[in-house]
Amino acid sequence: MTDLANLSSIIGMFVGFVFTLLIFSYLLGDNALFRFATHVFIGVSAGYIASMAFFNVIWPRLLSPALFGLPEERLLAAVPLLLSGLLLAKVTSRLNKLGSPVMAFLAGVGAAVVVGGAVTGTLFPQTAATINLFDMQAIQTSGRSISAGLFNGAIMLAGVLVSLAYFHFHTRAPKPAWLQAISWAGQAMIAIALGAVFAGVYMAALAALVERLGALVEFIRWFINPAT
Amino acid sequence: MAQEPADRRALPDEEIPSPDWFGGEIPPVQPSKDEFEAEQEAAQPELPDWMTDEEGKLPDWLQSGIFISPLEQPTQASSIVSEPPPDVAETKESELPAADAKLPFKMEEGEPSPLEWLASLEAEAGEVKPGKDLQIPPEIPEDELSWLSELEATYSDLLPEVEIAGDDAGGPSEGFESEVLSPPPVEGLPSWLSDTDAESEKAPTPAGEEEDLQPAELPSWLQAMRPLGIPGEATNGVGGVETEQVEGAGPLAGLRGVLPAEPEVSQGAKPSGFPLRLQVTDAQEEQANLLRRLIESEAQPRPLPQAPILPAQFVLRLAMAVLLILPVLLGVVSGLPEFARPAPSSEILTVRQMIERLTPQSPVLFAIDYEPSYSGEMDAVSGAILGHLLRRNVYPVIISTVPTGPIQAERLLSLAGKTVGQTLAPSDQYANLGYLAGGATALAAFVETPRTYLSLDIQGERVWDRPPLQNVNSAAQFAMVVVAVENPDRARTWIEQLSPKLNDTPFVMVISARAEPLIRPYYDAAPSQVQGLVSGLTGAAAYEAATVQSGAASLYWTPFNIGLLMAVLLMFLGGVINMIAGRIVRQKRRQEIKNK
Repeated sequence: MTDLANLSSIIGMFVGFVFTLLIFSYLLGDNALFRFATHVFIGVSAGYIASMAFFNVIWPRLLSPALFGLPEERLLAAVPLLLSGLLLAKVTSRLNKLGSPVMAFLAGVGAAVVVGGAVTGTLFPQTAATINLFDMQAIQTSGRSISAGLFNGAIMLAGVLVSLAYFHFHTRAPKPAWLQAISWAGQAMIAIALGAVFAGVYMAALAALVERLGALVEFIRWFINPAT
Repeated sequence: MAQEPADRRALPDEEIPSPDWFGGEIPPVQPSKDEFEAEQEAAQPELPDWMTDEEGKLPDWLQSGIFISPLEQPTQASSIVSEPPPDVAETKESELPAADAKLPFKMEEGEPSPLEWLASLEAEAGEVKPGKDLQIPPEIPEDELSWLSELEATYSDLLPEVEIAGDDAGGPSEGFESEVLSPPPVEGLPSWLSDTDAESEKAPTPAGEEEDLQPAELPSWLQAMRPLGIPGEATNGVGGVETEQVEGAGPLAGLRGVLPAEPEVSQGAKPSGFPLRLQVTDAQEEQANLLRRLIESEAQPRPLPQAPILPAQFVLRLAMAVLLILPVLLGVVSGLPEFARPAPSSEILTVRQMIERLTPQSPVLFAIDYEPSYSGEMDAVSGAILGHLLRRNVYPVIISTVPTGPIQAERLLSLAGKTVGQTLAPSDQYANLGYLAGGATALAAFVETPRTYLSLDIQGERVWDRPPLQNVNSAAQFAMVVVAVENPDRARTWIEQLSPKLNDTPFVMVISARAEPLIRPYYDAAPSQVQGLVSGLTGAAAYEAATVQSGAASLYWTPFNIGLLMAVLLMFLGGVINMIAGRIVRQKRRQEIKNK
């Protein structure tokens, strides 16, 4: 078992080494090796996701209860089975109306969950957090000085306001000068935020690069001296 | 001015517009029959008596031969000698040949010659050239002929062609006056008449024969000599064919090459037509030529610019890759220079404290919710947290809303177990619930009723009957919830669906560096919706430093910092080069503006 695990690990390292080089070949331009690697990744991912969906969702939660479950489990499985059958009717133009109620149900439930979550999980809490920046008791509780807490809160509030003002829709042209100035400040805030996002993207990519280079070096070291 | 008639003659008739003075009543092209008769009556006193009858009029036979209307005149007639040669005209009557005796009349001494009217016409048309030369009436003032000069200037380019055409057609030429046209040979004509006039005049006339002739009677053979009704083409004596104007009226009717009695422009000209050539200015012609050249240049194939062997973008991309990859590779191989791991921040310390408070076998919900492409970063970050959890001997329950999440979790658990020196057993030391299908809706359902929604792990075994999970009926009953996610939107979904329902359960986000700017407000909020935050490789290295462990983050830390330094260096160099290049371009533009 240990040998087999080691063998699979070695094969995995070798495949990772080869495909890493194939992906790095894109530095020389778009080529067949790069396309071959991407096609393999797409195909493997699609196959894995299909098998995962079947063995992790369709079979254990739908087919198995419907076929081999207890009577109450079969009754419960009949509902998603019926809805799934109606959803499959969307593939034909003659029967696609049968799937519309199912789609409406999915879209309605999904929208309700997302909107409800956004309101209760983001909008209200973030609005309250912006207001609470000026809560003296909270500032004292956090251990910061009141002046520093208020200054920090003022900056946060100003950033929020000018960023919202940037998205202000004004039908009368031109914008008032004060609103235009605020919009420019909001634009600056958004630019800073996007710059931070870009820096984060670069750091994530750099971490991936370091990991791949480390894997290459590790494989080469193992290939030169397997004892290591 | 003397050359104008010849030039005007060369103009095509259809291109000559009518002048203003000519736009009123157009005089008749040819005099009518009445006018001819009036003219003839006016000329009668000059006629000799022998040519008139008792009433002083021409005999019928002579009128029928002379007054032929142009409308009645055949279009083609044979040409005869147009005028006698000068030597013949100057010859005295006594020196006339004897053939004179054959004429039906006798010329007396001292009588005016019946051909004097011809001499008078010749005197009037002395300077006018024969053929198509224009005869400008003397009563037309010269100022009114300015239109002819304008026409000459306008159609000057057509003159040579027309002149050449006229020459080729055998038209009248400068030396036409000196030519003596020969009549065509007529069958049955006596030989003495077919000879030249000089020879015939030199022939002696037998005396006494003229008394035998009947006056006012033209013999049939002489009538046959008249050129009327004979085709108008005649040889010019050298074998060429002459096409000349044939006189249609008057005493010279049927003769070829006589001088016109009226200006040619007054003769039935065709209606003026529009010139086919466009009248454009030089500027318009130049613009038209420019447009034509442009269109022609569009139709011409152009050779494709030869692609450079090494495009600038390719070189730049390769150079940046080398500048970035090579130092990082050196850092990976050598581990030098060694960078100190970052000091743990407050959120890192908070996470560590929360994990330290966990009791062994405490159920911890751990979501592996990132794509495989981010596993290089996220494995290091989540591995640091998972390793700490395993050291605390908690019971991780793995879940993922990404299809590839469960298998990534297995790999991560395997790696984390190695770091802590353990080989994890799937059922005893952790539970992998697998893929949570359904997005936000499924997540909300799972938070409420995890037992109902996911009852089996990826091995197909029941999960909730295991001892660490027996008391867990909702997400809030886990000892801790840790979500490792790289996508900001997915992270927000987790926060929105979990944070309002977790109550006092610690909620830790392990996120990618790219998601930090969007997730940090949830941590910084008061009250905070996320109690702990570990972000990126920096956060992982800090956490490992805080927990005194050495994992992947510590291994990657040195090359990671080298890469960051190279990025800063490249940005600085790029900024400097861009500034210098921009200054050079601006200087060039200023110089070009000055030069202009």
